[in-house]
Amino acid sequence: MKSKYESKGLVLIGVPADSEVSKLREAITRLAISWDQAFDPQGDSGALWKLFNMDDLPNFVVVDREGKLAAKGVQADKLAPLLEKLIGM
Amino acid sequence: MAAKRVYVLFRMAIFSAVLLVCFSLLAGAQSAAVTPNPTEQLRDLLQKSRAEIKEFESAAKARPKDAIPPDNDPRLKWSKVLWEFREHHLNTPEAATATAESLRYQVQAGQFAEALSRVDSLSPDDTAWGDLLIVLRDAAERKGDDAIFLSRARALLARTDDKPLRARIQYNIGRVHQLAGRDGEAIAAFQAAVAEGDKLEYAKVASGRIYDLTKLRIGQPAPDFSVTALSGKTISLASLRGHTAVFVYWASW
Repeated sequence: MKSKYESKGLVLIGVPADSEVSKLREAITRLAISWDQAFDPQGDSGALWKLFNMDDLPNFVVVDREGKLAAKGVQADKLAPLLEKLIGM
Repeated sequence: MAAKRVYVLFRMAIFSAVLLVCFSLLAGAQSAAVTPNPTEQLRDLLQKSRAEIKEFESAAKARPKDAIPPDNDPRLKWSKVLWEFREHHLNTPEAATATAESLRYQVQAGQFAEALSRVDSLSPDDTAWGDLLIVLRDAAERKGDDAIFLSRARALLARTDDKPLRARIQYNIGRVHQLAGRDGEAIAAFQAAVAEGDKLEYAKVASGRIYDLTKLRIGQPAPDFSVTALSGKTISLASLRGHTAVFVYWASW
């Protein structure tokens, strides 16, 4: 998904529920995840979890180019059509 | 000869008496062992009812769509059983659960009037109220009439001083408004829940909902933030400007 949208100005930011950085790094290597991770030792009580009032996973929050909230709590199958609309594909 | 017969009869009588005593002792011990405490008894009833309902549901799925639905919905039987349990264990935590489950089954089986008249017969200090709110919301949703829930929730508010319960009522009123798209009324109810005492369980959930409704509106500017990522980069709302940002909430496990 990443490479397909990257050139259109899409940024992916992982917000892991992990509180142990070593396990997270191991998973990132194992899964070959290339996007940056907003790791917070507080895990799923961390700043970005609170900021968007998130409590479940996997889940997504989308912020558009102007910094406006475009979607919150969107499920994986709804994400691609929404992104294509936002980045004009 | 006769004396021996009497002796045999006597021994038989003694033997039977001993046997009888043994059996009754055994039976007594057994009945003591199988009379569970109310918690176990209720758990058992709920498990059995769920298993029967599941079976009924899967049989219903297998029926052709235009078949007449059967009138032997096990929910009605279990609703009665659980209500009887309630009556036998009044004012216990188990009775509260049994009451809510009994009425939930009745609502799910479509006996709205019967369920609602039972709800209306409860005193405001009945311990079942907390769990009943969601049952009432379910009834209102199935009938497509929020007033079924809202009128009873407001009546209860007027009759109880119990702060945790009041916060829970206000929270549920807020949710009903929120789900119907009446954001203003939803916020007001959530604020009323918080006003009951901000440490209360439902006050906390309500403040989360207020935040959702005021700061996390689709199409409005996202709340500001600044975090340091694993790469060492600082990610903030400003740094993302010009990019469509997708936050992926996940876990490595």
